[in-house]
Formats: sequence, structure tokens, C-alpha cells
Amino acid sequence: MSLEVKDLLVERNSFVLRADFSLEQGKILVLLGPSGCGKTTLLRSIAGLEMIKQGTITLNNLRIDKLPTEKRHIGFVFQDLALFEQLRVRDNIGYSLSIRNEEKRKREERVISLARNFKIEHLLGRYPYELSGGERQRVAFARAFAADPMLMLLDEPLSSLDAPLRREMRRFIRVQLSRQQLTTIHVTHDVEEALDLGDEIIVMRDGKMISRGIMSDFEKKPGSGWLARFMNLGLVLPIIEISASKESQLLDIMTPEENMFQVSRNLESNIDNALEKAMCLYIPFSAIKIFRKNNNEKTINVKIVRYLTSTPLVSKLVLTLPSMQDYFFELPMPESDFPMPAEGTEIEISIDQSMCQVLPDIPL
Amino acid sequence: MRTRIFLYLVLCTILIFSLAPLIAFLQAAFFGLSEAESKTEAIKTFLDFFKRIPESTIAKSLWFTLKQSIASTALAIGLGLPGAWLTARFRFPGRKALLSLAAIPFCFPPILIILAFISYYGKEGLLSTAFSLIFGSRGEYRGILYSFWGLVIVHAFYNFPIVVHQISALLLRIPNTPLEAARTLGAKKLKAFRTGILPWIMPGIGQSAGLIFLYCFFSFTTVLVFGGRAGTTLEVEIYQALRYRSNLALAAVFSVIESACALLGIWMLTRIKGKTYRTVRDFGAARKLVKPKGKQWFLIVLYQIFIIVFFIGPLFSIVIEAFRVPASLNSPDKFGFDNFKRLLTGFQAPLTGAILSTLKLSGIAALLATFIGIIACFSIFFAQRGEKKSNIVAMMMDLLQWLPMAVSPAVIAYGWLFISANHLATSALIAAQALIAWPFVSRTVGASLRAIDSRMHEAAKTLGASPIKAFITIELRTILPSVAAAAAFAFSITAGDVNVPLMLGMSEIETLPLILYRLTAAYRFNEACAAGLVLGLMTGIVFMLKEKVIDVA
Repeated sequence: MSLEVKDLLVERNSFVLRADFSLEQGKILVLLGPSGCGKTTLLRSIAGLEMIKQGTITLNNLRIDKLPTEKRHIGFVFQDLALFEQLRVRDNIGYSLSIRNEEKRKREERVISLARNFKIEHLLGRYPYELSGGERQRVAFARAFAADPMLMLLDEPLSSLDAPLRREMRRFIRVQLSRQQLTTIHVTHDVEEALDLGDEIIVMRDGKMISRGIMSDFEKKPGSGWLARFMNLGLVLPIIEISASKESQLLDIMTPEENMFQVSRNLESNIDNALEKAMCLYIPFSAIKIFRKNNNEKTINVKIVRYLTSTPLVSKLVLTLPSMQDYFFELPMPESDFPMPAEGTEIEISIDQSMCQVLPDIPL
Repeated sequence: MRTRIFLYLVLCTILIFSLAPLIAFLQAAFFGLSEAESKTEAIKTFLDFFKRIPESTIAKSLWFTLKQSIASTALAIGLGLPGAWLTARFRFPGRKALLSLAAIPFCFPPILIILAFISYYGKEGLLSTAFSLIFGSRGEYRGILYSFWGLVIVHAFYNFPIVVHQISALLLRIPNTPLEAARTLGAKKLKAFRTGILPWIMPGIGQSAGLIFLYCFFSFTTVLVFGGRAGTTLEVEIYQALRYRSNLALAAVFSVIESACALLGIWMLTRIKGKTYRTVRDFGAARKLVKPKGKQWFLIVLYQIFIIVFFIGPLFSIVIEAFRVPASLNSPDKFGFDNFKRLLTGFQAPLTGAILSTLKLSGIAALLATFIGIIACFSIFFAQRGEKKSNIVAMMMDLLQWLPMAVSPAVIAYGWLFISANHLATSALIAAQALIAWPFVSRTVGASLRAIDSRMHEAAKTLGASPIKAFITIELRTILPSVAAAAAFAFSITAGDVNVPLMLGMSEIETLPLILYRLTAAYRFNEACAAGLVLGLMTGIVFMLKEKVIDVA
């Protein structure tokens, strides 16, 4: 393992962060979670910028948690990029090399090679405040790469870019990191970015790591309604009534509008205890079909809010439940020959009940 | 168009108000008070004066002025920076009090601080008494207080809270990430600080240093009291030329040299200021303060003890000395109201009259300054917002704002004396003090006016407010606290000013600072402290009222 974080505990005022994970050499791990969940704190703890209360951090078999930041051999790209505004791009990139007292000629060669790699060769003589957002990003990345880090930590460095540039930079970073075989942790709250960049994703909430895996893992086993909603994995409906006999493997569930579902027991633990918590019904998008009726499947009424045809690659339908009109969900537009109902009309969607799960509303 | 005419009218009025005394003074100095002389003769007289002035005096006082200003500034920065760092990084008891010390130079006049230092550091002062009790070596400070270094220490102590306040505010807004980025790139703590923090705070330090330098450069009362033996500043030379030698031309030459140096300083200051604006504008929210640990606590406590002993101590000593009645033939040392009684009822008992005249004169001067200041800052604001042609108004007005920092108050006072009907000292005093104080008002109010997001005004308009209604509800409402602060500030400047009344030498009017100065000069320190306490209470109450207005606003 390239990086191992064991029993890490960070306490800051009333906030507590716990982490325990490892990462293989050359892999990109994405820490995904809402604002304030502790993902940046975790990144900063690994970098030595945050005091840890307990636990160990090992990088390439060397314990680094007791080392000062400058001796940990990590690269860090900050959210605000933290470029040295008083230094030219050339000196920003070569900063770590000058700290190491690298020979001037070698330093210059390395700076030029990095600048060429990041397509900023023409900017070397400029100051950071003379650059555009995208150019600043490239300088920040080139500067972090120049230190030859063993681990790269990226703290939402793309958050300030507009959508097209962000997409472009994402691909560019992915290529650069793969080319260098650099072990990386990337922090983001953007699901699309997480899926695009990460080999693996860890979802965090309230200072805890609640789930780890790739997209299909999350879709199969989101573990909670919160995660399904956060990652937009499917339809999450509140449960009004739930009943189950001890012998039966099926749970009878009533959701709003008295829609009844029969869902198999998927909770290993004692269902009665689990049911004391708020529960919800998770219906993965793959279990939903529109305009195609199947007698074996459960159907429910939904209302068409809008047709989203503006995106050229994906056309979507925005839907809502008649009794929950502040709850919207999107489904890909099915290929269909018959005329589409108008916006505002109710349609039936069919659901494969065998794929549905009863989940705690918030992670246990 | 109508706005532009109005703006030009305002500019002309303020221009006349500001420059008239200068022209009157220079005219009197070089061309005589009454008879008109021919142009060539005037120039000859002017050149003659330059020749006649003993070069050594000018060079000596200019050197002394520069030397003491540089040393005082350096010491003030040295004292202030650790405080700024601690208050910007840590949350500790007394942090707010430390930051609020910055109000002292503004709400306590220099004469009061001088008195505080004499009563604390003086040979009969509290500190030397305490030292003598502990070490038995009385008179430790006899040689320091009334020397060059005494002057420097007083200046530094008077000004260092400005550094604490300004640099702390800057440090609070500087992101920590450049420092952290330097650490992740392999820099050790000191190198990371030099790369990540220092470049950001350097313009701020330069700006504070520039302000303190200018203040010390024009320092009058402090030098008059402490610096006498070590040397005199240009400002004191002007006073002496006017009061004791009645040599207007000599005073004019001194003031021209003084203004030239000050203008150079101001030019440098505005350059630094521009840079500071540029850097600070990009910063986001203020950083969170952390709880100090271990060694950090030690540093904080050490700094606080230092400030309490050497800075708060003198201020407290005024209170103690005001109530201490020194031992006489009939009675031993005791505490009571005797000093106040003597000032109110005894021989030469001017306190009541002085309080009333200070309130009246400073009140009028402060009101006038506030009025002019507000008009001026709004003119600048509208001129900057308006068409390009109006920009000249903003530029001129901006230049005029630096006037009190570039021209000797003595020259302004004498200029007004020459202008005022029958050379009436009272009106000259009010006009001179208002002229000195209005730029402080316009700068304070202008800063809060500039800070208003123009989108708020636009938002009000989109919600249906007329331009006037939008102005009243957004701009006017927002600047009210700063108007209150500026008015209090103007009152404190005028109420604590010794320079102008001393220069005008009014026998018919006594102001509180003037009494304070005379009592100090007559070594009647305890009575001086009693009068000082009254003056301190007066400015303190005005500042408290200001806070009340701000709270209500």
C-alpha cells in the first residue's frame, strides 16, 4: 500500500473526524461529501497542516504523522490555489527546487519541462495576477508536481472554474496523474467530478467515512437514503407504514399516495430495532421504466414537470410525485415513438420491486 | 450637468477655505502685512531670507525631526507587530482590549499622554517610586524622559496601538494557504513566512509606518515638553519663530521645508496605500482565531504584562496623581479632591471656564469640520461615480484631504488670524481647527461610503426606490455610524489641540489643553493630572456617545 491512514482522530472544537483507509500506489481516491463533512480536514491532516489527536499515517512504509509538513513529500493543490502572487510563474513552479538548492540549470530545465507538460511555457515570465483562472490552475498543478511528491493531495482545486473549463481541466489532470503514476487523494463535493476522476470514492458525512467503492457499488448498496439522494442514485420515498411478519421474507411498505410495495428484507440486523429510526424506500433508477407497462411490476403515478432537451447528449425528464411536489427527480428520456404527454400531465412509471430496498434515512 | 456645477461649487468653496490661510500667511510673511511691494522686490526679499537664515539651524532641526520620526516609527512598528500577530492568530482574554487601545491616539490628545508619561516615568513618577521601593535606586529615569530617547519612547507608545490594529486587521484577512503551500513545497517555518505572509503585510506595515512617521514629523507638544534639550523639530522651530522672534519669514521658510518633506512622505504613502487596496481586495472572509497552546500562552502573557506595565500604567497614573495631594508643610501625602478644588476655586482657577470654552469652541469647530467633511466626501463619491469630467473634482478634493498632514497647524492658525476680522483669535481658532479636522472626517466617512456595494443601491432601485429614497435607505443609513465616529474624532482632535491655541496665544480664552500645558510647564503635575482627567473624561464621554449612536444606527 502506498498510503495507510489508521485510526485517525482529529478534534477541532466540537467537530470530530475519524478516518481509517488505505490507498494503492498510483490510484486516485476521491473524498466526496457535503460541505463541512471533514474531507478537507482529513486532507490537511495527512499533509501535516492539521494536528491529529491519535492514529498513524504511513506513506510508502514510512510513518509521516510525526514529521513536519515540509518533510512529508506530499504535493498539495489548495482550493484557492495559494499561488505566490509576488513571484513570477517561473519562480512559483521552481519554488520547491530552489528550497532544495537544486542547481540553477537543472532547475530551469525542470521548470521548462513542467511548463511544457502543462502548456504554460509562454506564461513563465508573468505574475499570477496576470493569468486567467485556467492558467492559474495549471501553474498550481505544475508547482505541486515540481516537488516530486510521493502523494498528491487536491483540495477542490477546480471549484472556482466554470463548467466547460472544469470538465477540460478534469480530463487534463487525470491524464497527468496517470502518466506520473502518482497516488492521489482528490476532495470534492461534486458527484460528477468524483466519478470522472476517481478510481475509488469514499463518501464522508459528519466527520465519518460512511461508504467506499465505485459507482456500481453505491448503486447496489447505498446504505442510506441520504447517500442515494446525495449521489442521485435513485428515487427515495418516505415510508408511511411498514409491516412484516417474522416468517415472511417480504416487507409490506406504504409510501405517499398509499402506494404499496413489497420489498425483500435486506437489513441483516433486527428489523424492529432498525425500524425505530426513520426509514425510506430506495428505488434505483435502473429499476424504473417509463411508458412501458409490465403486469408483474408495480406502477405509480408521477407528474411530468419538464422535458430537459437542452443537453445534446442526454435528454431528461424532470418528474415529481403528485403529493410531493417539492421533490423532483430526473430520469433519462426513453426512446419512444408515440407522442410525449404534455408537461404537467400525470403518467405511470413501472418499478421492479425486487430491486427496491428499505434503508435508514440517514446513515446508521 | 447640474451635479457637475454643484460639485465645482463645493470644490471652489473648500479650496478657498483650505488655501486662503496659507496664501494669507505667505503673503504676510514675504510681502509684509500692509504695504504692497513690487514683484522683483518681493522675490529679492524672499531670496534674502533664505540667505539670512542660519543654515545650521535648518539643517539641525530638519535632521532632528527626521531622526526622531524614523526612530519613533521603527520603535512603534517593533512594539506593534508582535501584538498584531498575537491578536490576529489567537483567541485570548484581553484580546479585544488590546485592539481597542488603538482608539487611544484618537480619543486622548497628545498633551494627556505626555502628562501620563511624566506622572509615570518622571523622577517622582509611579514607576520610579516603585523601582526605588524595590531596588532602592531612586531617579532611574531622570535622564531618559527628557531626552531624545524619551521623546522617541513617548511617540512610539502613543502610536504602536495603530500598528496593532491595522496589521492585525490585515493579518486576519490574509489567507493562510500561501504559507501552507510553501510548507508543502518544502519550506521551513521562517522561509514559508517570508514567502506566504510577509509580502502581503509589507504594504500594510509601510502604510502604518508612513502615518506614524508623518505624525511624529509634525509632532509639536511632545517635542516642546520632552525634546527641548535634545533638539527641536521643524514644527517647534516654526512656533518659536512666530511666538518669540516674531519672524514670519523664518517661520514660512521652515514651513515650506516641512511641507516639502511631508509631501514627499505623503506621495510615498499614497503609493503604498494603492498597493494595499489591491492586495486586500482579493482576500475573502476573516480567518478563525485559535486557542493558544503552551509557549504561545507564555508569549501572550508576556506581551500583555509589558503593555500593562509600560503603556496602561501611565494612563492609570493620571487617575492616581489627579487624586494624590503631595505632602506639604502642613499635611502629609494624601488622597482627595484638593487638586480639583484648587482648579475650581483657588488662585488662577480657570477649570470651569476652560471646560465651557473647550466644549464651545471645539464643539463648533468639530461641527464645522463634520459638515465640510461630509460635503467633501460626498462630492468625491459622486464625482468618482459620475462622468469623466467630474474626476478632477475628486482628484483635487483628494489632494486637499492631505492638507493637514502637509502643512503646519501653526501656519494655518496664523493665516486665519490674518484673515479674520480685527484679527479675532476665537474665530481664527475655530476656522483653523475645523480646517485641520475636516479631512479626517471626509476620509472616515468616505471609507465607509466606498465600502458600500453599489449593487445594493441598484437592488433598492429595482425594488422600486427612487434615486433619493435609495440614497437615504442605503448610502445614508450605512454611513451614519461612520459620521458619528468621524464627529467624535473631530471633537477629540479639536478639544485636545494645544498647537493652535498656543500659537494664537489667546489671553482672553483658556482651553483645557492649554491649562494642561501651562500646569505641566509650571511643574504643577497633580493639578495638571486633575485637569487631564477632566479632558480625558470629556473626550471619553464623546467617544462613548459615538458608540451609542453606532449601536442605535
